[in-house]
Amino acid sequence: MPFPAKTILPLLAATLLLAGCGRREAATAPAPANALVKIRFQTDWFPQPEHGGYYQALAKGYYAAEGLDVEILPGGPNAQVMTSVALGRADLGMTNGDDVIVAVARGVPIKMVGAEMQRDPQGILFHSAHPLHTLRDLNGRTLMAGAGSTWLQVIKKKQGIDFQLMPLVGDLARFMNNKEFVQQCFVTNEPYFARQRGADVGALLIASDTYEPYRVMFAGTAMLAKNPELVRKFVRASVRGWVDYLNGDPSPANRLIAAMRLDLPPEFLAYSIKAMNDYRLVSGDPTKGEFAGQLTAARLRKQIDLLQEVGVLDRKVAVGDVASFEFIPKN
Amino acid sequence: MRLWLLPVASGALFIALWYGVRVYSGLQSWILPTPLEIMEAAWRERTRLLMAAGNTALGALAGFLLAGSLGFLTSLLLGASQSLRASLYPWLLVLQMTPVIVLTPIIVLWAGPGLPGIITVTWLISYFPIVANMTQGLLSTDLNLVALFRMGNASRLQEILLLRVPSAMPYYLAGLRIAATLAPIGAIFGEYMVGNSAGGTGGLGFLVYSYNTQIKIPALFATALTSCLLGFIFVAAVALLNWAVLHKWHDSFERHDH
Repeated sequence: MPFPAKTILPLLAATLLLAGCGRREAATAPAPANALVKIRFQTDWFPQPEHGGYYQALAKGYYAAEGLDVEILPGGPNAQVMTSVALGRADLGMTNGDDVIVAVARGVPIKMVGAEMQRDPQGILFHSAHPLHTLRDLNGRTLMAGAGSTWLQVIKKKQGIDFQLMPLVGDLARFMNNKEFVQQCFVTNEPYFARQRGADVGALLIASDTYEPYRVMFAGTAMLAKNPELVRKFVRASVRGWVDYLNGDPSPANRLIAAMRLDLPPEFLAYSIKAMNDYRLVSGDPTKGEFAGQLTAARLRKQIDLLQEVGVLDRKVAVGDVASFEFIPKN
Repeated sequence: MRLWLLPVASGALFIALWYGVRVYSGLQSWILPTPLEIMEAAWRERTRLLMAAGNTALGALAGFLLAGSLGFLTSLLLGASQSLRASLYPWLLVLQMTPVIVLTPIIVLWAGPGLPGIITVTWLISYFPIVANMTQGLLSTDLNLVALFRMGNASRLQEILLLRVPSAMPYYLAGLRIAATLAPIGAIFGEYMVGNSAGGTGGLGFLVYSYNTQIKIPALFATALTSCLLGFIFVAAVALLNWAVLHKWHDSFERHDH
């Protein structure tokens, strides 16, 4: 039996009315003078020094100075950073730059707005007895790595090498037991714990001339259209936080992180900061004209082409689809 | 020989064997810690373990209570009419057969990460045994008693509330007992899949991540031990409830009135 129009119309009106309610308007509410605007920022993992810059900006009031009341939402396994931002549960997020490109090609409405790190801290952990000097040394070895990681396909293809893969579980037990074992890691993380257990190890950064993904901040396209000024302020304060975290006194951020991570010893936080500096992850290489926060169209173009070549992009994307360059603070 | 000596003896034998393997294999403590090293780690990490166990207990309890109440209500629906049962039960089975691990990313997407996700996972894992048991109980009422109720012109509602529900209690409690062992497991699994480090320690599932990546293997064993204790507390609580509800009338308890 068809419903008469006079039943449907009020229902429809009620539905529309209800649909309008409950939507979080945190980022878009007009702020009275001097009131801080609420921004929710989603990270990709449990609080850790690799998020230090944001916590530094929070602790030292850089966000507040820009008129922002930033809440950092800690991630974890299955954090789904990008869908969180796309669904409006968070206003901005951070993740690996490649993931954003792949997501945009899949139709997720987000865009990079600035670099958190010039190079992603993913690396390969090895025993010094069987070192890796370049990625080519992986040839013929057995590597434990996140199955489906794009960088694996890219380097196999680009370097013309082959190696065996084991799924990454996240523990170091097998690595500790086998001197020839190599496994994916964060150069800012696992080497510390392996050395603590007496292993003589090194870590090779995966980012190289062939393949150098950024670690990025990104925002939902709705937020970019409605509130570009808030994005600009957030990126500016975050980059300021990062530079201060790595060059100044990191203890304000470290105190915030330690309060949420009772399991991380202070020596680990210090190691991680040192590694970010040693590998120049945030500041990049000044001789190449890199600086904290910078994203370049040329590098993103190269990244997109590589991802296209290995076939992980659902459709062709342009640099302008994946990133906005207007928010990047000048050097 | 007294019966309680047997588990003590087998336990002692097991621990001796454990030490033997450790000594003769030359394995380091981060591969096979001794029971003593595990107890030391448990003591060293006691604050963290207790806080984490508290967080896990919260998620497990919320999921368990949700499963207990929703399971009860669902069973009433299923027990009330054969056509309802026929239309709903197959779909409940479909949901039950879907491995929770496949559903976790979807649960995060819908329920959100952290506690809501953890409670949903716990509920999903402990809900079905309750429904299955309680429904079976509602259908297994003594037919003589049903006939007696019908002779007395009892209404359908009276029959369900005054006869079928009380006589299904042993079944319901058996379901709860299964759910009580599953709820802490569900909560820890939930924390491992969708958790965060809330409150500085997160739950036990978060500690598994943390200790594992830091190669603190004795502490990992201590986490297992803590999880085990939490499970015992849940089961003991349901056993107590079981006694409180049933000891006056059910044949599974020794009574003095016959």
